[in-house]
Amino acid sequence: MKFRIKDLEKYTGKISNWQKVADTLTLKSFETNYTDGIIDVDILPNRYPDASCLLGLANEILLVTNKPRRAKLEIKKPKESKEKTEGKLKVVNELSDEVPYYFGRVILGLKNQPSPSWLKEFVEFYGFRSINFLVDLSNLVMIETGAPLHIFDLDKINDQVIVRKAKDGEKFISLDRKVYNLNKEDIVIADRNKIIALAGINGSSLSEVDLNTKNIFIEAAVFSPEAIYKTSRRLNLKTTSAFRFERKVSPSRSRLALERVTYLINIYLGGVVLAGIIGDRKMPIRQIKFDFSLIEKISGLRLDNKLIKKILDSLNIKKNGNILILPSDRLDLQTPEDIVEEIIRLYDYNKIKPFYEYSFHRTSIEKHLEFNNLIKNFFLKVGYFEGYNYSFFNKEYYLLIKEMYPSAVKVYNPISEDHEYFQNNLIPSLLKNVYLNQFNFKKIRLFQIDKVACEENEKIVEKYHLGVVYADKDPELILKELKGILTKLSNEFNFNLELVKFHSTLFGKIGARLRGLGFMGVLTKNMQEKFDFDLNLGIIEIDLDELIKIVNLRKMFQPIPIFSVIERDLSFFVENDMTFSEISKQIRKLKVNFLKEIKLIDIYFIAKKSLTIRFVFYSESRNLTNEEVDKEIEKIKIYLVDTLKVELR
Amino acid sequence: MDLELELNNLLREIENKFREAKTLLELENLRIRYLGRKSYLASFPQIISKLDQDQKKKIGKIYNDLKARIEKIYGERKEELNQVEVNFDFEHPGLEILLAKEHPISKVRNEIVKIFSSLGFSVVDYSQIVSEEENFDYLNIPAYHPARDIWDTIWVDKNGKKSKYLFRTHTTSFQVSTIKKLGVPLRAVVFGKVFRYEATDKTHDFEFHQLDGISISPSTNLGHLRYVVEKFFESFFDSSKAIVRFRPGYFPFVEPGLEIDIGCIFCHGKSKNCLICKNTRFIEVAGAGMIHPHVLIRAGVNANKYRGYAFGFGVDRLIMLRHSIDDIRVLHSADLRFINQF
Ligand SMILES: [Zn+2]
Repeated sequence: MKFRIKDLEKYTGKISNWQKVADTLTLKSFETNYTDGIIDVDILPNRYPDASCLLGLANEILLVTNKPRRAKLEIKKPKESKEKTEGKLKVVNELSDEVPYYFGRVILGLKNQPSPSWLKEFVEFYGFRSINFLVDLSNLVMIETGAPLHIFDLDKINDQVIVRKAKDGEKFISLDRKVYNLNKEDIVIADRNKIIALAGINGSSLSEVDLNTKNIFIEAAVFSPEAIYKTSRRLNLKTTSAFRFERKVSPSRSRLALERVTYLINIYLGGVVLAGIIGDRKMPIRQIKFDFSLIEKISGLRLDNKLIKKILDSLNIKKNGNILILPSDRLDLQTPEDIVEEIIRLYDYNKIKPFYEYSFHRTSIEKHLEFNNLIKNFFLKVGYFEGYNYSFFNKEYYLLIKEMYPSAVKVYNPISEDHEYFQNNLIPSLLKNVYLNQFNFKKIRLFQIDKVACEENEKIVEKYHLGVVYADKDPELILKELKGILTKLSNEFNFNLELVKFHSTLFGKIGARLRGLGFMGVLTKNMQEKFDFDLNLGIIEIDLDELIKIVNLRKMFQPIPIFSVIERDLSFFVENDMTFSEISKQIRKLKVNFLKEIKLIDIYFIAKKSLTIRFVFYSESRNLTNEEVDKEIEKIKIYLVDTLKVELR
Repeated sequence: MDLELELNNLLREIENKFREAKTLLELENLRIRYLGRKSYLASFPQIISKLDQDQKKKIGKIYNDLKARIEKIYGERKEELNQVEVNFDFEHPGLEILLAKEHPISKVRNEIVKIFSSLGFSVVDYSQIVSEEENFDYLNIPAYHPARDIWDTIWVDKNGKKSKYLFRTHTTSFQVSTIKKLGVPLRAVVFGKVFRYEATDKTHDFEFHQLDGISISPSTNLGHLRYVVEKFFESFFDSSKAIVRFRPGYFPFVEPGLEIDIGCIFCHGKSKNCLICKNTRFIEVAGAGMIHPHVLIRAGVNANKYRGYAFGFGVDRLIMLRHSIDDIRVLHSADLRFINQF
């Protein structure tokens, strides 16, 4: 909020160094900048009722600069006529809960006119269009006191003023002559047959004051912040008045504003002020119980009683034992903590000393976060870079991957069409990452770990996923590397990996389901073209919340061989449908001595499917001789050729 | 004259043999043969001793020169044979080595977690999709309150309508459930993505990262907050002393509420035109305060007995400050040319 210092100085008196004032305000109250006769103050939202106006800000400045003086508005009680306000205009407030204060005054026989240049200049600086003297004066008083006012042309009001809820479908015509459809939540000011204002938000052209206006009804009220907020948002009618009411208006300020504007109108535009204020009553005294030891408990500061008393005095807070009587306009002061805040900010926040609080309980890091870190380190070690991703993707991606990940969380108000879904897998993000890098790199190895979400039985479930991508020229190389990584991962983390062929739009036939964990595959040519890739892309996606359930992180020691281990490789052609797992199962059934392990070393295709299998022999009691092993290998060979009909190479 | 000729011939022979040696072992054998205790040369001083004075002097000198020369040749040849056979210029840059890198954001996350662990905080995780209550109501931000406008929210869709779930607008949404789950006393931090319905530019993104922390005990006060904040920034910016400044701030879930500034890490308050602190000498880095009793009560904590402080940082901004990154969209990218720099 911007204020002219020449306006503030009417209340504070002359100030020689405004930069210093701005710096002090920043440290003690609100972030403030000073330039060329104007200060720009970031009033904290809870301080709107008291500080968002000349009077309140001037007071804050006097307070933080330790001046004993307090800001005051010039008001003289008007000479009231014999005629009573209530006799002239009946006001019915049907909503005592939502409109706790509804003050009003009537002035008759005034002479409205265009605003003089000083007033025009004033309201324009504070962001209003100059309308006429009456309207501009009401805005001036709002800037002075923080309380919005509304002035009605009394001759346009039919008989009485009623504060009530709108009826569903009732129409309101704004000052801009726009028509709004209201509902029964909206508070309106009405007369016998029409709505004359949308309470706290905007007046109606049907009752507005103009240059011919002679008789007026001035409204100063406190409306429910929630009601104003709801109506203003729903109708998208955001006005200065609504903005202030949403942040609360103090009743005492509202009444003050009424008296100030009455005084000013009387001075400048004449007229007769009728006797009495509509809705006038005593303001309740606000007080709270305060435990003075709370100051030290919250701040760690031990303050002298005299000092505390001095600060409370400067805040106009009266102390009566442990009861504090609060100033009527400081609506932000509600709890004892609020009082502590006032005392320590005015003392000095920066006198609070750093102090270590010992802790005797063990700290921990949530288990799955540590697990995610282990996975991350694994992929860094095998040479994969960690990528980055945004969490939303578009419908096209969603539909494309739906056959693998069917359920996703949809966004109600996406940032753009490209962000309609919250990610339920990381593949789209991997694709984007490769696309971004393919112009600069010929081999791209990336992984990501991030949260994905889906819906399960009407509930939103979040999980951590791992996404891995390797982009290169040769798809066989890609698949071999990714499979190698998966095998290493399953060795390192001690879990069973099972791959089942899986046909999908994304991978075509070159894809597999990692049972219970996720998927892997190579993008089809169609997909490469669709996403404009020059390289082949191999992808792995794993659900880490599932993986953590099956891993075994405690490694058991395996005795290191004392005697020599002998390995023999056999390469042979087989029928395409014969698998290594079947072959190794059969050989295990044979009585082969000293055979400890059967490993698949390679599979390749030269017209026919060819396997290379390694047989590992070991004895716990002695070194085996080559001749012994040859004998055993011979058994295997015979079995392979005679029974399994393989063709040795 | 015979002796002299003999010595010269011997020299030539030894020299040739040494040069012909192909391995260190061959050379060693040659050394034993020509220079060993039983070699002809080893017996030569005896021959010399039998010569007359003139000859003794002359041949003695030739012998000594010769011996020195052979030992030199031997040394040189040994040195030669000791080398691996390769041509290498040490100006060669070496092969390009690929070193996989983590993303700076996750790197910093681990750093921050380590700092807070050392300050006695547990590290917890929390949902990114939370209920309206967790994100707002529980934190003293009721519906129809303008404080909600500070956070422009992205909502979850439910059959074409706004559901009661949303993408957390701040990591503060972890407070009530975490306190309920872990109980008090408690010190915990949470790190993660937050989401805002907001236009993107150099300093704003609709997804970014926050760290929120809470500490609750019967004796917690703002002095303890100050200690933790100072130590954190000292570690994070690797400086011996962080200048920390508290200012009044307003967040509905704390009371008193604070803005935390740190002394400018670029100009240290000394520059007349610092682009980072804009000559204010301070940089705004965090929001904090004492947890509002309403929040504690909501989490089932006896607010008369326990007090706590809370703080929250925008992590992206801290990383950008520390590494002079001027565009948040660069930080939020997987461009390997970027990741490779850290
Ligand atoms: Zn600076």
